[in-house]
Amino acid sequence: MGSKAKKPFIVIVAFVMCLSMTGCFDKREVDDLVNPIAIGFDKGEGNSIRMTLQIAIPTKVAGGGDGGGGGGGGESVSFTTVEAPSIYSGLNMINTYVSKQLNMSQIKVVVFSEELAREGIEKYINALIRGREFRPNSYMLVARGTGNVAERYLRAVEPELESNPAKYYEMVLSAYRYTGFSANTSIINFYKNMVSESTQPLAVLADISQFENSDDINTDNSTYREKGRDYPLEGDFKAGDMPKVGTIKSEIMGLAVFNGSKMVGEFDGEETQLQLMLEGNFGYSFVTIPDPLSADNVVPLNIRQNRNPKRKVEIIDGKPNIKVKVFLEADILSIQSGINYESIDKVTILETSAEKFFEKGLMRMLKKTAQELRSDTAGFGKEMKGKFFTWDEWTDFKWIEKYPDSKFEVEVDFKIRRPGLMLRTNPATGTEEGEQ
Amino acid sequence: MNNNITFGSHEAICLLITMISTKAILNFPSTMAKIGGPAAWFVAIYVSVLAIIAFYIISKLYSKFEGKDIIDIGEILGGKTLKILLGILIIIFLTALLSFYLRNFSEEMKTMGFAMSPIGFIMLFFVLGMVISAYHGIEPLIRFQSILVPITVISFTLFVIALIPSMSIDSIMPILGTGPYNIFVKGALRISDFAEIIFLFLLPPFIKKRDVFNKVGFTGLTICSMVLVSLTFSFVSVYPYPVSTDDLLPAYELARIIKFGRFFERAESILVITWATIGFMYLSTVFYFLLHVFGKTFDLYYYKPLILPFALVVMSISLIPPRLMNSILLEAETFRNLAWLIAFVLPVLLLIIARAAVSRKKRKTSP
Repeated sequence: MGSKAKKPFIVIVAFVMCLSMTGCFDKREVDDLVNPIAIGFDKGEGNSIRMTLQIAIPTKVAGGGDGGGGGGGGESVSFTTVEAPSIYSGLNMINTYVSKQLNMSQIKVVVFSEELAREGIEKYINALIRGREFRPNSYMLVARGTGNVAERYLRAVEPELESNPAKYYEMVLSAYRYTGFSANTSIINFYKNMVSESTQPLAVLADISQFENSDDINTDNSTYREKGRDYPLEGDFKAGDMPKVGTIKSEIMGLAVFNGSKMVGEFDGEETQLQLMLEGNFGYSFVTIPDPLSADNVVPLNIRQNRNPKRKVEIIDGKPNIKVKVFLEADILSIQSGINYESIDKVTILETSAEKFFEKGLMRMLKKTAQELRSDTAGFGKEMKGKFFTWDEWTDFKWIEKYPDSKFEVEVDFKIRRPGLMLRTNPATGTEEGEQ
Repeated sequence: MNNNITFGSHEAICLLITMISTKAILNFPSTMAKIGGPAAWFVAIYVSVLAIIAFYIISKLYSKFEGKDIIDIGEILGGKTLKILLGILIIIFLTALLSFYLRNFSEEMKTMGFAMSPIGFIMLFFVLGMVISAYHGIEPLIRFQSILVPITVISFTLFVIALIPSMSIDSIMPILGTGPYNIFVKGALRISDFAEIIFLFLLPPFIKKRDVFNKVGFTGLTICSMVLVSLTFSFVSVYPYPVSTDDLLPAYELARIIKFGRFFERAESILVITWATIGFMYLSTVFYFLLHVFGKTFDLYYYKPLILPFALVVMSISLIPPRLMNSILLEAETFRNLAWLIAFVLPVLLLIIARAAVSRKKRKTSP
């Protein structure tokens, strides 16, 4: 190429390169996009779905809490609900009346109604996984109840401490690390477990509070009676049943248990904590156990799981025999009875009692998964899978069909490490009854 | 053709890494998963070992042909006729390779980030890169790779480390995956995934010395094996079988799940840039060698007039498959099942016959 032609050639090439590299066909001004942060699916008429989008209003979110403008979830978000034959056709319909183009890449939460979840959500999960804009780390929720519960839940979400509702979802749904009352149920984990031969999927339970004021509060829907307790502990509730009132109506607590793509049951808060312990994903949490020496009192502990559980699966007489050993550590938070559990001779009483408390809970929860739900939520199939040499041998074994016949042996190793800031509990002194 | 350019082992190793390891970000991990199931990583190790053994045999046979590429050896053995035949075979091989990868890179780039852009437009983006680099010749291409490949390998290592929290050893069980037959018999054919080793047999005129040739081969193949095995292992331990078989873009899917707290996520946006860079390096190198082989086969002194016509031909061929699935299937099932014949069997046969011929000639000429 001659030197005269070289320069124009380079200019043309540079120009074409610039056009290509900026992706001019795909250019989308940030200002022309609208970002839904949550999507809800309810059952529609016939085969349709009713889809609700919770859309962040950028100006309000960016405004923060100035003059009370931000902060209120009702102000920083907008809602729309549409009935459509599929997710993408619904998005198309919404695009006709929303002034900006929908961009689903900021979706933090996907909520399915219980009705839809019980019918099976495989087709929706596949669509979400296939779509490039949907994030695999978005959380999966199931809204409890009948009717348009996903829509009802999303409309009830009114974050007070966050001006950014997306951040609210992230914070609330990652709180399982310090509450243990929900779990990391991302879409991708759900999908992997849905098609797995060795474990089953879970989703976080969501609902709105049933109590309007403090006088209405009751524990009628608590699960404590099923567990043979005289009074409810903090984990004996599912979302919507928590005995609380306040401006935040939305609740998440417990897990929806699936068999394949169909919801088959629920875990309450305590069962969710035990599920996390079995997986080795329990971070830390305040857990209340009954006082072993004083029936009317409880001992709140700060419990941690610092070691993964030991899990062993064997086949005895054609039935799975599952052995689990869970390792827990705790710090004492309070001793209501004033009994000196901090002392070396009494601490073992508390430890043994806690071990039995958790062993009983784990056994109850595991039997529920096998006999009632018929779903291997803890993924013991993964241990079993390792005993086979080839994939065909493993699939021919049909673990999911064998799991309901499982027998369980549970052991808990519980150690109290620290007494908090008090080394012993001194009783109150006085002349009234109950005081020394 | 001008073969006065010489480069060292570092440059040649970088070239080999680009050519062989590129498929780690394409469909290599999911192809391994289709063959071996949970034992996909084992298939990757097996194929890598086979490729290194094959190269060991070829390097031994190559000992008498220092500084000669396989076209030169063909000429020594069968004169112009064999040289042209051999050259045409390699040209077909390189054209097919370039067409498949041009289409796949462009289509996958479209899927990842340019959904609205016409495929021809994205392809043009890569073709322009190929054309410009071909005009500048091999030296800037090699230099560019010698700088970028070490950076890419370090980034890749960080990428794999970032995936560790998402990995689960349970996912690679049962240990023999879909069974020994699939791993050892069907897996053996996947030695074709190392078919780009053919570039090493075109390099001797540029690297001259035999010990450099051996060093480049063994070091390059070892690094490539590590890259391919580690990414396959990461993939199947993050996405358990059978999920591992349904992903179009394994590396992209892996990047999408990387998340540290609330402040670091969407690592795939970095991958798109890396993807484009690797795509440029790969396609430009194949394109240059396609022109180089054509020029050498037909004794052309200048290759530059061939650049635009060849770019047009390659782009047209790459658009023949009506859909991406056809292109992937053709590359993964048909092309790769035959590529080992050109990349491994052909050089071995050629070298055995050529060695015999050279020895016989020596015996005849010696008193």
